[in-house]
Amino acid sequence: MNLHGVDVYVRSDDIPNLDESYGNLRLLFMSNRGTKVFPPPAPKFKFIGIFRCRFFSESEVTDQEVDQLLTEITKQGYKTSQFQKLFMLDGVKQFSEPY
Amino acid sequence: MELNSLVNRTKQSKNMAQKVCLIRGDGTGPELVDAVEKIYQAANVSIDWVEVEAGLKCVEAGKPIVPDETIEKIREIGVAFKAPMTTPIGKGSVSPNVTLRKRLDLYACVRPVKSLPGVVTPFKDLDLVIFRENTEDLYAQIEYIVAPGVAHTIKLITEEGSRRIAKAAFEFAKENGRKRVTAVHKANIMKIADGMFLRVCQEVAKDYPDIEFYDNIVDNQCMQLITKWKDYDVLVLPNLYGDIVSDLAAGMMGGLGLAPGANYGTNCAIFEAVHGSAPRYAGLNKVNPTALLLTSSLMLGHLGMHDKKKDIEGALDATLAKGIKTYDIGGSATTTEFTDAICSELKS
Repeated sequence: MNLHGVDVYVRSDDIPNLDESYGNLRLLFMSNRGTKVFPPPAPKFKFIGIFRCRFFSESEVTDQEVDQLLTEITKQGYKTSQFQKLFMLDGVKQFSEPY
Repeated sequence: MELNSLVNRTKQSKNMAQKVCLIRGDGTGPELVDAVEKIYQAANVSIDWVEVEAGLKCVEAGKPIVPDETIEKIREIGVAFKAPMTTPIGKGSVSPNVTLRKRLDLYACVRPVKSLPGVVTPFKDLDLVIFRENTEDLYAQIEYIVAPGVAHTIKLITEEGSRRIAKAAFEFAKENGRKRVTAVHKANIMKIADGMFLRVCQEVAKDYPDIEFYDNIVDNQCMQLITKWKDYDVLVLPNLYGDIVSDLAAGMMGGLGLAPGANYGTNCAIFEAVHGSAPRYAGLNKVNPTALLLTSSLMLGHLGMHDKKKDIEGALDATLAKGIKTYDIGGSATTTEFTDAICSELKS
């Protein structure tokens, strides 16, 4: 399996104000309760206080790049509760997409 | 059966036909909608259908399975009637049904389960209403392969999500003279997630002292439904257990061809039958329109058209009682013959 990104679970009451990219890792979407809320349009529902933020690169990335991204998000003042690395196998995504 | 206290209905003029978004669906969906439209005509039900796109046709046209315009139109009008749609398998596509529920935050899936005349089952006088949480649990679709041969799926349960479905169940019980609400869970194993669901249901129950509250572990609940179905009234469940138990209950009623369903959010509602699109039966004039008709009847209640609802349900009961039935419940009537029989009852 090849590492291509990371889902970072960011604690926030509203959609986090994150950068569009961190090095090679680009912000693809943010979801709340499994439903995409960024980029717009966001469904109209009450958010729970944790957002899944997907950072992805078409080319393979290193563990160090993921570590660096997590450090940068923390430096921006956000608390994170968990992260999950995203893998590809023979060009097939090994993770689900949001609604 | 209505959830008046939960849905802020879009105000429509009483002098005009009620506007309802219509999704004709895939497979047998369009012919089932035709049957309902024919029955509405016989019953003089006036609906201004606003057709919107979703499902397989959208995917084949290179669009999202539920286009944004469809979501926006349903949100604007506040009510939709939906025939079954097909989820493409193995193409990485999401379920159109779950997409609609998630994007419109239709958190309460309500499935009434009631014995019908002329439909013989071992479960006499069945009368349950199932409240399935519709937006959380394993249906949040958060899944990963974390190492070769190892998959993780996140079971998402929140206090907010649990509280609003529990309140919906209790409010329904209060408004409709129901005596008992049972919360169904697996908190003996999933002590954190299902434990939260159970704790919130217990908290909500305290606000409804006139309604009995029980809880039951899901496996035991399945057994008890088969052996002591009359002991149960309103059930409230997280998403996955609700999905399974409501199909079990549909089987007890006589099959999926009979089971209606509705999805309610704060500002809109979608009415859809429980069954799938059955593409193998498309065009055979064979499928049972009862589930979609009873679903439409829930919608008429929601729109305040109570007399029409009563007329249609009465005509359906009379038709079934005369033994006019489709193949799935032991009859030989075609979809058209069954539909025409209901229309004749309405006209008489």
